[in-house]
This record gives sequence, C-alpha cells and structure tokens, in this order.
Amino acid sequence: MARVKSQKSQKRRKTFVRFLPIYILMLPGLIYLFINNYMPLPGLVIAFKQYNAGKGIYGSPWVGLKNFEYLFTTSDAFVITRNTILYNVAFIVINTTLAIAVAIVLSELEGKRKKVYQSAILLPNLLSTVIIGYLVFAFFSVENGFINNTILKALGKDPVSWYSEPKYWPFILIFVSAWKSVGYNCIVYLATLMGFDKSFYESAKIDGATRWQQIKYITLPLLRPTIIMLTMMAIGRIFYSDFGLFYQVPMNQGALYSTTNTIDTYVYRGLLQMGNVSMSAAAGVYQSIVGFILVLGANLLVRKIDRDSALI
Amino acid sequence: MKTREDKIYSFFGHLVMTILTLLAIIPILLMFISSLTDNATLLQNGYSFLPEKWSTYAYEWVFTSSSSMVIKAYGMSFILTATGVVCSLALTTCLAYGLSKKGLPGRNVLTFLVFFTMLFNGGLVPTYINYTTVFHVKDTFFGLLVPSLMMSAFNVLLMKSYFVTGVPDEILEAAYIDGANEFQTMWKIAIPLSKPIITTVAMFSGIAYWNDWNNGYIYLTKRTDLYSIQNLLNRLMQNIQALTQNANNMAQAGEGLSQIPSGTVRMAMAALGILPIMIIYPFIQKNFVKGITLGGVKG
Amino acid sequence: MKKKVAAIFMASIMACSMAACGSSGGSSDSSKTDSKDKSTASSTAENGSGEVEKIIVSFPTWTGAPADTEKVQEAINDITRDKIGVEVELSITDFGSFNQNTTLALSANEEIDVLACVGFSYQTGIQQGYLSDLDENDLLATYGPDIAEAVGQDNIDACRVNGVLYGLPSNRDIAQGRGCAAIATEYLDGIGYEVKSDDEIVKISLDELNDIYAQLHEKYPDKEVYRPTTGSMSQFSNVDSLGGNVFGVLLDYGQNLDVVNLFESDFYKNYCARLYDYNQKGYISADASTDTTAVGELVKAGTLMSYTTGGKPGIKAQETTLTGRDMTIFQTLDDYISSTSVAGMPWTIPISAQHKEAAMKFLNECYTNADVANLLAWGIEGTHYKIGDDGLATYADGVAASNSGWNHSMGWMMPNQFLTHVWEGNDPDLWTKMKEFNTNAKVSKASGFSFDSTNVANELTAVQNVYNEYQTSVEYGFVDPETGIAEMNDKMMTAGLQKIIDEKKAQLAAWQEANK
Repeated sequence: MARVKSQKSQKRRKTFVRFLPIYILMLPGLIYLFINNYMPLPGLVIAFKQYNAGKGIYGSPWVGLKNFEYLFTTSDAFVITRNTILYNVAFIVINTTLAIAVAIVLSELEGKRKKVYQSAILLPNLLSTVIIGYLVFAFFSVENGFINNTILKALGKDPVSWYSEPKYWPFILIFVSAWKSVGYNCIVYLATLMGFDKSFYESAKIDGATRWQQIKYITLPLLRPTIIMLTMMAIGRIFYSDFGLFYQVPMNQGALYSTTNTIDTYVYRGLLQMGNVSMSAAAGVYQSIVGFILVLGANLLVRKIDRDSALI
Repeated sequence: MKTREDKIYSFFGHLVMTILTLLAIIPILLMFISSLTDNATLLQNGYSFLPEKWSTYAYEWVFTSSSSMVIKAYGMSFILTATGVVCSLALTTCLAYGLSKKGLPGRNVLTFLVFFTMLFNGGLVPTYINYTTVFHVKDTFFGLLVPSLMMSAFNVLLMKSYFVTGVPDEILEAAYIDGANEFQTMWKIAIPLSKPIITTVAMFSGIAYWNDWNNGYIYLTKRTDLYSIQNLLNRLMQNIQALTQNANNMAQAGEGLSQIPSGTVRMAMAALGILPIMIIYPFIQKNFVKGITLGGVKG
Repeated sequence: MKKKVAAIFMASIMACSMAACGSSGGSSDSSKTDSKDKSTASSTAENGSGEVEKIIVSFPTWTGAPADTEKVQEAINDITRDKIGVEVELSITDFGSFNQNTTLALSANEEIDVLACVGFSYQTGIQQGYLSDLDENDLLATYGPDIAEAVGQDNIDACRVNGVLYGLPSNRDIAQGRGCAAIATEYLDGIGYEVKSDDEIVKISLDELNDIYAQLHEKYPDKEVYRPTTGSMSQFSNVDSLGGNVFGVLLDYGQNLDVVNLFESDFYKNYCARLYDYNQKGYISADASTDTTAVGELVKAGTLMSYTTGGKPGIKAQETTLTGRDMTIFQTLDDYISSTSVAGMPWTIPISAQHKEAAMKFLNECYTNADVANLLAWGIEGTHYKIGDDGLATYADGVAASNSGWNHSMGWMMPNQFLTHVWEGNDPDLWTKMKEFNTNAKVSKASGFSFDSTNVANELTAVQNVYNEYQTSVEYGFVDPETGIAEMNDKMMTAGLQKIIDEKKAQLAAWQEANK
C-alpha cells in the first residue's frame, strides 16, 4: 500500500519535473491574466451593491438583484434581447460563411493581385465606427445621399427616408458588419488553409476530383475545428453587441430603435444621465452569465460529437 | 498545366475578389475625397465623389500648428504597436504552447481559466482602480501598452488549437528521443511549423494596438504627449461633439474654437490614421505571406 | 483668419507636450497688478503657520490644458502662497473626456481638492457619493466666509440637496432668455425686415416670428429656414425640468408647484404642432435629426438661416462670433431661472480631497480676489491680455487668438466671472447687465429643489429610452403630433412615467415642507 503511494508520488514528481519547463513558459502569460483579468474580478460585486464612492466598492451596502431589475422590467426588454441575439446569430452565420468563402477563393488565387485584394478587404477594419457612421450617412442621407440622389433617381424612384424606416436597418447593419469584418475574419481561415498538407489535394486531383469536391471533402472538414472554435467563442459573447455599430452607424436615431436597439445601447442611453456605476456593471454581469451558460452548453454538445474540437 | 476548370475558377475568383475589393475601397476613397473637400461645400452638398470645391484646409488645419504633435503621435503609434506585438506574441505563444501539451497536469483547468477571461471581467471601475493604485500605470507608456491589449484569450486559444492540430505529436516525440528539451522543441519545431498562426496573431495584435484609443482615453489624462494617433483622432472627435452639444455655453471669446471645420477635419484625421497602414501594409504582407507559405511546407 | 483659428485649437492640443518644459516666468507680471484686496482679514490670518499646502484644482476646457497652464498656475500661486498659504496645481482636461476621467479618478480615490461640476453632473456626483459636505466642521463658514456675500446666500442654499451643501454656485448668467431665435441679419435685410428696436434682444410675438420664417422661406427657398436641436424644446418653453429631466415638469415658469406630465400638456402639443407645420412647409431639412453638425457651422456655411438659442446679455456678440455672420436675436418668451439652473455647474470639494481647508480657502480667493479671478479667466496681464483705453480687456501685444497660451473661453465656468475684466467687443457694463438680467428674471418657485432618482432608477432608464426613441421625430415635427405624442406618451406610461411623476410630486412636497 505504502509502496503504491510512494510510487504514485514518485511518478507525480517525475511528471512535474518533466513539465516544469512548460510551466515556466506559461508563467508570464498566466501572471498577465491574473493581473489583467482576475485581480479586478472581485469588483463584480459592485453589481450587487448600491455603489457609494465614499464607502468604496466593498463597503457599499448590498442590494441583492435590485440593480438588475431595470433590464427585465422594461417594456423594451423583449426588443433589445431579441435584437441582440438575432443580430449576433446573423453575424455568426453570415460573417463566418463569407470569411470562409473569401479565404478559400483567395487561397487558390495567385499573383500580385491577390495581395491587393487581401489588403483592400482588411482596410475597413482599421476605421473607427464613428467614421463608418458618417460614410454610411454619405450613402443614405435623405437629401444628399448617393442612394437617393443617384441610384434611386436613375431608376426613377422616389427618395427613401432611410433614417426613419426601421425595416431597412437589419440589412444595412448586417452589410456594414460584414464589410468591416470579413477581411479580418478571413485571416484566421486563410492561415489555417495555408497550413494544410498539400498532398491531400494532389492525390484528390489525380483521382479526378473537381474543385467543388475538393472543397467539400477536404477543405471544409479540415477547417471544421477552427470553425467550431471561433463559433463557440462568438456564442460566449452573444449577449454583447458592438456598441459602435448599433449606436454610431444608425446615428442614434430614435425612429430606428425597434431594429437597432440592443442591450448595450439601451443601457448606455438609460444610464447616461444617471451615471449609475452599479446598474451598468449589472448589465455586464447579466451578459457574461448568459454567455457563459450558453457556451458551456455548446461545449458539452460539441464534446459529445467531436471530442477534439471542444473548447475545454 | 492549367485545366479548363482551373481557368474558369481563376476567372471567377478574380471577378469576385475584384468586386469585394471595390466594395471595400469605395467608401474609403470617399473618406479621402471628403477630407479634401471644402467644408462649406460639404455642408451644402453633402458627401460627394466629385465635390464642387476642393480644399486641403482640413490638413493644413491639422498640420500648420501641430505638425510636431501629429508626427509625435505617429511615432508613439509605431513604437506602441511594435512593442505591443512583440510582448503579445511572446506571452501568447508560450502560454498557448503549454496549453497544447497533452498530458500536462492541470491543462484543462488552465485552459478554462484562460477561456473564462473572455466572458467575465471586473468592469471598468475595478480594472482602473487595479491598474492605477496597484500598478501605477496612469500617465505612463505602460498605460497604453499593458491594460487589456497585451494578451487576448482569443489569440491564445486560437494558437493553442493550431498547435494541437498543426504540430503532429510524432515529430515532437522524435525530437524528445533525439534529446531535445522543451525549449528546443518549441523553438525549433513547434514555432516554425506554426508560422501561419503566429503571423496571424501578430497581425491581430498589431491591428488591436494600432486601432486602440481607449487606453489613452482612460489612463493618460495629464501626459497627452504620449498620445498615439488614434488618441488624437478620438480626442478631436470628442471635442467636436462636446462643442456641438454645448454650443450654448460658448461664451465671450468663443471665437476660434467654434470654427473648426468639423466635417472635413474628422475625415482628415481618419485618413491620417489609416494612411501609414496603407503604405506599410504591403511590406508587412510580403513577410506575412512568406510566413504562411514557409509554414505550409511540411511533410 | 482661418489659419489663426486652426492655430489656436491645435495650440491647445499641443499644450500638454509643451507644459512639461513650461517656464516659471510670467510671475513678474502678476505682481505688478495692484491687489485691491476685497477679501477680509480672516483669510489672511490663517497664514501664520507658514506652511504651504498644495491642492489640486480640476476643471475642463474645450481643448484640454492650455499651453501656458504652468505660467498661470505659478502666477496664481504667487498670490495665494503668501496670502492664504495655498499652492494650486491646475489639472485641466478635455471637456469631452472630463466626465469619464473624473468619475474614474474619484472612484480610485485620486486626489482632487477642488472640482468644477461642468460636464460632470452634480446630481450624479452626489448620488454616487463623490462629493463632500461643505458645512462639515463648519468648513464653509470658517474658511470661505466671503463666498456668501459674493454669490448670495439664496444661491448657495439653492445648491443644497436634502439640506446638505455639496457645491457652491458660480456668478454667471443664471437666468436664460426663453424662446429666443437667432436669425442671420443679411437674410432679414433680404426680405426687407426692419428691426424696430435698439435692444440687443428684440422682443416679438411667436406669430411675428412665424411670419418672418414664412417670408424667409419664400425669398430663399433653397436654404434651410430653421434647424431644431435636442435642446430646442426646453429653450422654447416655459417648462421647468425638475431634476434635470422632462419626466414630470412644472409649467408656467414654475410659478405653481404642480407637477404635471409634459407630454399631455397643451404647451407640448402646440410646440410640436408648430414644428410639424414648419416641416410641412419645408423649413426644416429632412436630415435634421441625423446630421449632427453644429447649427453655428451650418449658418456659417450658408445653408441655414435660423436656430434656437438661450438669451442673455452679450448673446448677440456671442452668436455673431460663433457663426461669422451678423446675427439678430429675437425673443418670444421671458427671462427665467429654472429650478436646476443655479445649481447647474457648482464648484465642489470631492471626497478624495486631501486638503479640504486649503481647498475652501482657495475657493474663497476665487470668489473674492479679482486678481485670481482674472488669472483664471484671461491669464496673465501683459502676457495674455492687456487693458485697453476703454477699460476692456483685449489680447496683449503680439498675442492673438491663434497664439495665446491661455484662451480657453471658459470664463463662464469660473467661480466669479463678475470680478473679471470685460472682453473687447462687449458692453463695458456687461456684468452689471448680467446681474440685472439675473435679478429681473422670473424665478421658479422650485428653485433649489433637486430630485433623487434612486427609487425610480428602473423607470427612468426605461422612460429615457422611450423619449430618445421619439424625441427627434416628434419634437422636430417629422410626425403628426396628433398621433405621435399619444403614441410616445402611451409607451412612456407603460414604462413607468406616472411613477416618476408621483415620486417627483412626493419629493417636491417634502422639499416644500422643509423649506417653508
């Protein structure tokens, strides 16, 4: 019995010694995470307190879930939750599909032009959303916009009051999101594609496989782990929304709220005047917890289907 | 030898990419053109590809009296991005490599701890208090460099997954048998095999550092001489907004401040922010592509 | 001219980089200015100990710290060091980021001894516990004995919240001329309109204003006649926004303390109907709600003819500089001091202050010492400004708006503007007129009431969101008020508007009881 134990601990020590260099390698990164993410984490309690600077975060009185109420009691709760989730689902599906498609097309092209394409589609990602908001305005302005002044005029149609018609905005926002992020997102897929073993394709070609078949039977299956991982990370943030995209791009137009108001913009607008630190922290906690539960669920599912692709 | 199918594929590939390129570039072209438009014309006729009256006033406005500030901010942006990318790559690669090690005790727990940071954070106020009262990064270069940007869990997991799938265990095992230690295997085998993902992560972190204005906004209040170009741009936009919203308080000697050509200057600053990238990017990309293809050649 | 304009803005952007190597010169100039000391002996008496306390004074300017911040700071210190044993460090931030930076700094307990609540809400500051009680240990009475005389005890009391004094009001244009429209004079000339008054602000009726707009539109059909902004409704009303929001207001210049729902009032209906009418007639651009360009800039560019403003002495000069065109100011309503306006932008001592007594001593100087007030407002005499023969201040020799190291246009924010020199181009009696303006204005009966939103925070966020959703379309006249207002009101009621109104009623009644 004792021998077994000592054998075990000996083995453990051996493993530890073997992996010691790995732990040393990981240490700086872990320390950074500790400083950047874990040290401020206890501050989350602020969401359950009525913050008073005089008493400090930890000295402020507890108020339970009171700070969360405003997220649920409002008549807009359904709209903002629906918008946040639906837009995120649309972004996950559309942006991922486009990014993969562009990566595949790009990976098979050759020559100098490929570089031009690749740099060009990345550029939108370098613009701040405020600027993007004005560029969108340049196209959709009622009086001077290109769409009304040039395109609709040429088609002989009446000008449209874009900024007071909520029905157009899901399309505009999804387009803007894709415009901004496809170039960026396709980098990961492109890198993964480049790392594939070329011999698969060569033997497939010899067997007479068409391009489409190669993509379907080789490329996509090989990309699967990456796709799953990126999608899972996106699911974790499904209750968050890109504030700039939903606030700056529709120019904060009230008439568009039914299709542009998300949890983040709602919280921002509601708390701007009150400046309530606790209530805004509560929104963050709510978003994180929902994301956390969803991603754990998704991970469980993936583990059952494909053990290796699971995140954790 | 190209088959007919290859040719068709290549033709459509170029066609699709040309369309996408135009879609991406046209609005940016518009941004450049509007930065070169006369401000009054812009207000009268709106944004236009062919403005009635051109003007370089927005750039003069930015440059005449403040060339040193803009140039300095460019310098800061470059130093920050370069330092940031190096630090970020070092931290990310080492951590990701460790997490990819099969059989590492505590691997799952650690991976979870990394992933957890993607979902939860302490929020702005606690983070600020942590960095200013414990680490004193306020009004220093570290205020730009360290908070939130230095290592993202996203990049770590991305790289970890590449190490797991892209670096075959057999090769690593072979290296151990040859007597290589952990550092050597990582440096000589895992990293060269993972060049595509390393260049990708380098690029992501570079873009994040170049685009960031939030750290400067929060952590630099007195040392505005440390501002990067994005901080300058953001500051300008915020000041324009503050002036617009508080136009009624513009009292007595308000002469001057109220007369910023806001529409065109905004675009000019954005153009100044993106221009260096457009110039340098081809060089970065050359190496980027090289990195990818080198990594791709393997047995 | 344009270059100068550019220069001054960027000069201040550069300020901070240069501040690092700023010299401590300039002190010689200030010592020359004769110190007609208005402060009483009590403050000088404190000086005995010989120990100098250093305090941090924080306020925003439009473009951050001016280039000569250190010089001005040194000049102020030359006065205060000997007199009250206090040295200041001016911590000046951009207006746009002031709120965020201050909130964070106070949360982290970073030292700020004196804070201007400008762009940083006084109400929020109190509710989140950032500000300290100025009566505690008789701080105000002991170390700021002259402040009450300078701004008036009534005004100080108007800054009390639940009886506690957290801030000191400043001397400025507390009243606001309601219902004012600025119209570029050249267009008035174009329609042959003659101003029948020598007054700076021309009083007319709303019908006359509508008539002018009709003529302007006929004569200049391509130009936008009028551009509303988000503040227009309250500027063009006799409404008292209790507690700084329009959810539960007093009508009729707050002359009776009856809290009503603005959105069910006749005033609101008529206002929106007028704007709707403007829209039907094509006075307002279809982009009005989207385009955020400042109205002054639009007038300058020649696309807009008129906008709403708040009347006060000196407004004509101000709007004229702002737009670069001669402006005529019309007023259709009365001058008015609303319940929130006295306590709108007070000076405070935050909880993170390390030297509260020194801070109060310094504030006392700001309120009473003309030299300090002038330094804060205009900089150093001889370096930044000089006094012309007419007794008005103007740029010093060799200095212009473009290269002045201290030209922040924030004089109105400083504690006691009335002690400072009047700037060239204004009426030499500006401050006297301003005082009269404040005295003669109608005062809300609820002046000094402040609303604690803690109990209705949930409702407030929801109602605020509804208001944001409808405000521009209803108040800019893009939708028919008959249906639009009702729809908004119904939605607000669902979101809890009545609860906010009831809470306001209750708090106002309690306040009234306490202030009998």
